[in-house]
Amino acid sequence: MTTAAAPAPPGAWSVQRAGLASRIGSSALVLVAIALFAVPQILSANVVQQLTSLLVFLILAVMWNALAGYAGLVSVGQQAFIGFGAYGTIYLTQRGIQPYLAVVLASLASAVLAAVLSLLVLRLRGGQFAVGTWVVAEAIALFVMLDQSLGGGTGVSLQGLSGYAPEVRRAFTYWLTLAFAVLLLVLLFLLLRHRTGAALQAIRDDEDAAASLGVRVRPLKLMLFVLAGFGCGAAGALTLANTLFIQPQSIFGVQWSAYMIFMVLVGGIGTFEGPIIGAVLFFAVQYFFADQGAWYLIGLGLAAVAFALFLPRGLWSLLNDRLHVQLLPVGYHLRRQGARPRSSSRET
Amino acid sequence: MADLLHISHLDARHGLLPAVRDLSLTVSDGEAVALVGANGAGKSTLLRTVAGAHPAAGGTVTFDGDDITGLAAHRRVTRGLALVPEGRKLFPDLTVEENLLVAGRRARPGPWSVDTVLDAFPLLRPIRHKRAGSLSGGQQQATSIGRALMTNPRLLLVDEVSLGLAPVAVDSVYESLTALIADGATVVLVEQDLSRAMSVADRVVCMLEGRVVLDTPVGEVTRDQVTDAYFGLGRAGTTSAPVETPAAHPTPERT
Amino acid sequence: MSWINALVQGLFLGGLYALFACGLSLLFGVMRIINLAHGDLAVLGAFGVWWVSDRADVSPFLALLAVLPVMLALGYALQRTVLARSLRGGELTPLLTTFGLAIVLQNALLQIFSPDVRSLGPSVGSLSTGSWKITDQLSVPYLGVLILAVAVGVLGALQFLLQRTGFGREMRATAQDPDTAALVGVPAASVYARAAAIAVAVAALAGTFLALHSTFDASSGPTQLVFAFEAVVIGGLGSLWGTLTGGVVLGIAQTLGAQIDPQYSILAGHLVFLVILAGPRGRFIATRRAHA
Repeated sequence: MTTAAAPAPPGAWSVQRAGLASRIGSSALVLVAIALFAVPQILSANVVQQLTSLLVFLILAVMWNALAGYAGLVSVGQQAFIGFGAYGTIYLTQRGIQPYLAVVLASLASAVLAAVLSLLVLRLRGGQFAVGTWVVAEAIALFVMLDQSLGGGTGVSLQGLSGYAPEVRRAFTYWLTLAFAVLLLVLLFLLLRHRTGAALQAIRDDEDAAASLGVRVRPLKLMLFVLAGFGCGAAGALTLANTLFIQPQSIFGVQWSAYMIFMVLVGGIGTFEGPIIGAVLFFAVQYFFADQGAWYLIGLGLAAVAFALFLPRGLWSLLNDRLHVQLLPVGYHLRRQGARPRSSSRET
Repeated sequence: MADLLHISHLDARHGLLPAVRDLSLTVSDGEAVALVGANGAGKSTLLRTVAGAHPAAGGTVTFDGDDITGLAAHRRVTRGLALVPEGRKLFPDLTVEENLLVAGRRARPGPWSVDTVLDAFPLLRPIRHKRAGSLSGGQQQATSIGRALMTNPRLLLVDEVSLGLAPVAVDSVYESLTALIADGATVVLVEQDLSRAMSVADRVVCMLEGRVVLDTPVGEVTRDQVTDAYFGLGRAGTTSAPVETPAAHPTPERT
Repeated sequence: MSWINALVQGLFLGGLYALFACGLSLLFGVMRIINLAHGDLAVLGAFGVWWVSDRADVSPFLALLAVLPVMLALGYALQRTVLARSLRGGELTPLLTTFGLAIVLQNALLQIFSPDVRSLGPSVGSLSTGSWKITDQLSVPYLGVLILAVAVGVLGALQFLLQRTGFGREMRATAQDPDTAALVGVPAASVYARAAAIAVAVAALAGTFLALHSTFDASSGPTQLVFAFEAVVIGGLGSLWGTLTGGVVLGIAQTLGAQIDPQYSILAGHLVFLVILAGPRGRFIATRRAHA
């Protein structure tokens, strides 16, 4: 965890990965994750279902942040993978595959789809990428609506889970969602700790400069785009498993992108912890205000604009700047030996 | 002669790196000042700060009696301050004539127009409808100076007049510059070529590590004295402005 | 023969898409911003025209004359407030703010005007329904001709503005190098604001013709943004005339797709876009500079 071990004279600087806070933070996160696995034993099925949708938001926020926060790719078309994951699950169960296995397979298929689409959309940058991914999502949605066996435009139910009692089904879905969330967080965490993490942030800050320094921009972007395709596919498939019914207009809807942008901007773009905070906050906002309809969405939009303009590093930056806390050791920090630990701010 | 430009205790930085340090300088109406110094001495940053293209971190810039330190670059142009930037910075997809016209659109009233610029730089006349991006270095420099003149400046700042130009192009650009100066234009020019600089200017100012180390009329200084100041070798001889010894700054920093 | 008719209808539809595209193209050319609220601003314009013509009981064209100056002012204010600030935040910030703005606009329109589907077609009578019958199967709709003529007129006027006027030169100079433009006296902020004003007003014009041509509701914006973007990319991000070509290609792709099966209409447009993107031209799109 830490690379600062050699004895150094007082006042000398050393490079550290983990401070006390991030050691406590990462231990706490591991404990929270373990505790979360026990939830279905303790809480009611309704709460379990709510927590499942919170975890789906968490996955979405983390994936969108991986794209925008680390690779500088603002996607308005991740609903392509959400819908593909959900409809992929339907398609596979219609061919007799066990639904939970189908969820996993459909997520992997989304990753493959992302790899294929990357040939097209990674040619684009900035706003062109944003709208380009959106067009792809619209095209895939139209293809799905053409297929009557997938319910056409009216929607379709997930079959094959009726054998389970509702509590058991919800618990299984919850555990699978939690497993996906943990897996994706760990994957991203490893990616950021690896040398590529620094390269990715360099790309986000200035793609051309990073390329001129020998950062191989394309493979890194591809890697994150495929990871995000996998994660968003899983989120879609798990949403289906949680609600058992989907309609193409909503599962392929651009509102998913609005949610993701809101969560990441409010939490803190380009930080590991930000999207987690954003997802929890968004879940709460949705829980209390979703019945306000249009006003609720106006509020979300205004909040996104306000955060982008006035607090571009999100709520997490407030904590990070004031308390110098970092829950997870994903950066490097200069630390004066014998001095009070102060983590440098590592994000822009 | 009236003071046209008065720089007082100016600081400018690139990030944390100081490029111009506590610099004071005055330019009077009708003067031609050659600003010399090694790479990284802060000459370009000084000109850019005066023109408003770079923020001042401290001190003031006064132009014709008004404090313009916080004024936006485009407003300084309308007051009569024009910078020919390093690297020419033409608008590559506009023609030569369009480059001139853009600058002339909000110009102060004055003698310069497309026709008078083309008279002053005859080499531009045959290429006036060519894309600026397709020109040679000398043609670009002439266009860039002409573009600055279109704003009818009272003070013309020229950064790196001959950098990257073929010798014949330098001759031609200097021919036009000399004519301008002879007409009484107030000019500050940054030039790496000392002899060139001293051949056209009334006064030579040498910068080292963001400070003025030599400021003297051209007639009162030898080329060697300027060279010494240039590299920070000891105290240059006769100077008419406060000079700090380079020894006071033992850690040379390059910007 | 019905195929030729589809081709002709596609040409006119393309005029509408080109009209949508040129505002988007202008802002991208001058500021390198893709305005994700472009479609919603167009729909806002359409609602404005609908509201004025409904309240004052006047023709939509008269109402448009009242709405256009308002949209000009709105575009100017939008740039001076939100966009100028987001431009300073880096390349991604304008995307995030314009997307947020799009969500706000859509839902505000939904809240104010209800989700009802509207059309301005009925209020212009035979202009929206009438056509010149060339043969039994080939007809040329009045409105289609009008839209195409307006699109060509607007594109031509923009082209003239950019190439032949002092303000156009300032826009092109600022697009190429805003810092140097300031050094020759061009106030980039004001040039940007006027470009945004024009883009928003043209978007409102496009929204009005959409409302005359077919129907619109509070959620029509995003689709129009996607079509506009497709037209810009198919046209090659080059000149404004390229945008017209792109719009026409998209329009024809959609009507020919619809000729096979109405369900294929929009999909056919998306596929043409993706093919262009996959082709050799796509490789240049990301790197090529747009000339406003």
